[in-house]
Amino acid sequence: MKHSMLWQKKLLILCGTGGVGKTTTSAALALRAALEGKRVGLITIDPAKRLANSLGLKKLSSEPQNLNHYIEKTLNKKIKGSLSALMLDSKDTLHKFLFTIGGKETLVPFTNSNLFQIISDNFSGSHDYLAMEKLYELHHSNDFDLIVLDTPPARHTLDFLDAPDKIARFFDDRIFSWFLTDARSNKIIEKIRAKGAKTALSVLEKLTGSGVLHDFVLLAPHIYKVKNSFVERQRKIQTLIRSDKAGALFVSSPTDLARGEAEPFLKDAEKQGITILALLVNRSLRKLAPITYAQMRKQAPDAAPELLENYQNLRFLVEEEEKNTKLLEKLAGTKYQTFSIAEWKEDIHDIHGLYALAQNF
Amino acid sequence: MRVNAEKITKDILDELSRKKLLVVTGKGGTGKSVLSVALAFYFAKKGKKVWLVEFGRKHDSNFSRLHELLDSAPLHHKITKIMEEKNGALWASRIDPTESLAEYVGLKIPGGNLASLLLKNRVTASFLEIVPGLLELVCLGKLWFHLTNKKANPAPDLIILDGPASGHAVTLLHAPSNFSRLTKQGPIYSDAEKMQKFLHNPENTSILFTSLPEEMSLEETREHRELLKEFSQPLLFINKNFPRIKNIKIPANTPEILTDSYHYSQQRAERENSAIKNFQKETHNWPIVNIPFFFPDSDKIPLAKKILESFL
Repeated sequence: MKHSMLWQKKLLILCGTGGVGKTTTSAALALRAALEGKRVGLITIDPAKRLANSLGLKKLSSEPQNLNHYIEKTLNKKIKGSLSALMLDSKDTLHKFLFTIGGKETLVPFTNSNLFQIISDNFSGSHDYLAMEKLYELHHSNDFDLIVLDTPPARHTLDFLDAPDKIARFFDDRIFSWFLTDARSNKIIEKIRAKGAKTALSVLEKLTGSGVLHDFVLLAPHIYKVKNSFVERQRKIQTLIRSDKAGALFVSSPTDLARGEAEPFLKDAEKQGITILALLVNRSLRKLAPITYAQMRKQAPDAAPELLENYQNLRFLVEEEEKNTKLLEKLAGTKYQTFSIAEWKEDIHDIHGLYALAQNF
Repeated sequence: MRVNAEKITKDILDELSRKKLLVVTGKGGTGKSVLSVALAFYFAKKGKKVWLVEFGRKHDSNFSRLHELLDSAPLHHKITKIMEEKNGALWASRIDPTESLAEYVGLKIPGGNLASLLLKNRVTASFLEIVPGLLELVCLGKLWFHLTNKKANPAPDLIILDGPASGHAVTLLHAPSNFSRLTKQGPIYSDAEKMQKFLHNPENTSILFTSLPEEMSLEETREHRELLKEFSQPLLFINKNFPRIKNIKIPANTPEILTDSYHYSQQRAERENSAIKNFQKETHNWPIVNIPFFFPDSDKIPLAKKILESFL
């Protein structure tokens, strides 16, 4: 129960650079919280199937899938709380939002639009906005005591926090109303009175042809109907993320590379008003080579050269780790807690592996 | 199987040297940047004019480490000269999407300050932000322009793109075909069509994946490839192959720590080896280049240089 503060929040966000085991750690933490009695929703923004794989599943859908029966059968153990997992799917989420807001009548004009089809693809830039929408949905379902969010690698981790502002900027009435014109007219631009906007839009039309703008103008009145609800939900989630009900765990590895991302990340997180709960150094090798190479040579002068060379190599890794852990601790100061988890004994790809990992928290 | 590994690597690199664009991608932490730098130096030393690029906006450049690996000042949209010799050269840039867009508009609609109007007007600026993939498209377009247009300056022989991680790379590489789904008119559309042909032609473009020798990482590489099916057979660089130690008999009086560390390394190498074997079986022998694990020892030689030397 060393780190039970990690599951006392309503929303736990795991951040960090790629390759440090963020997804696996998210899954292990979620499992641990479920075992402790929390009703946990585990969600990954990453479109890769890694979360499913780490749970030993082939795939996950974009709706929470309750895993209690599966976990209890595998571990032969009762879960006090519950664990549901899902993988964000942009298109499903957007469709569901539109349907919730106004039923089929609202949804159809969107699904008929070419532009909308592309915008709602998993690999378009809309993924971040829809992650927020999905969080809203989960948070307000009241089905969960805790939501664990696995984010994409650090460089983009905090980008999704700007999503509400970006979308609100675009949907600003002063701008958006330009597009609310009669699309049956072929001369959209002529109807726009402001001279600057008129010229700018003609330039745009010269580049993209009139099709894209036309598609947008066709869709604009429908967007106008739902935009306020969308922005409002985005804002509410932004407020939650910045409140004391949410917290972030920064996941790092003992390498120079991962540690180097910590400083810009922490700065950014503080600026954004995110509560940082702790810094985690994952896959620590320290226990494998606890004494220096010189000490080992003294202790075992006659050992086979292969054994000693291997020890020396591991020692290089441990020294890098010690240096980086110190740097992280210095960075954390008295503000944040730092802790480490020992190197995993195997590739974690099932509930048993996650269960073993979960014991570290 | 490892007997010919060096020759295979050399053949593969020779083949790569005949391409125009190499896109390096893979999940985070698998060594994309370090491999991009090693390859850039490799080809520059072989006499090519190489331009190493990454895409990114100015405001998040504090996350970029490419210049550190090159041992240079932070990179900008404009070219930084890293190395210039009699034949070969190495230049590097961090290509900014907004500046690329401005350049593109300037090319297509010469005269006046229309580009800045387009980017400064709030209506069009927000519209440009939401047209899916447009900013990615103009960044890719800039590379394509420099590789195919006689008037372009600089005119590199080869561009290496230190690409974004998995999902974002899919967005980037699909940008031309997505734009064609949106409209069939205008100069962007016709350029996007030409770019798509360029990208799909194996004589011009190769995608280089990076992965760690771990089951999950390799599985993701396979998923990633599925999403980029329309591109030619990618090449996979497996980074950080843990060294295999000779099997030895351990005497009874050996300290426990020493035995444990030996077993750790043995098991790790074994696990990696079987993960790679499985991967090869499932992918019907993708071409693979294995890069050794370099321990952070005290020799101070930069990692990219060690990888480069393993190629030579």
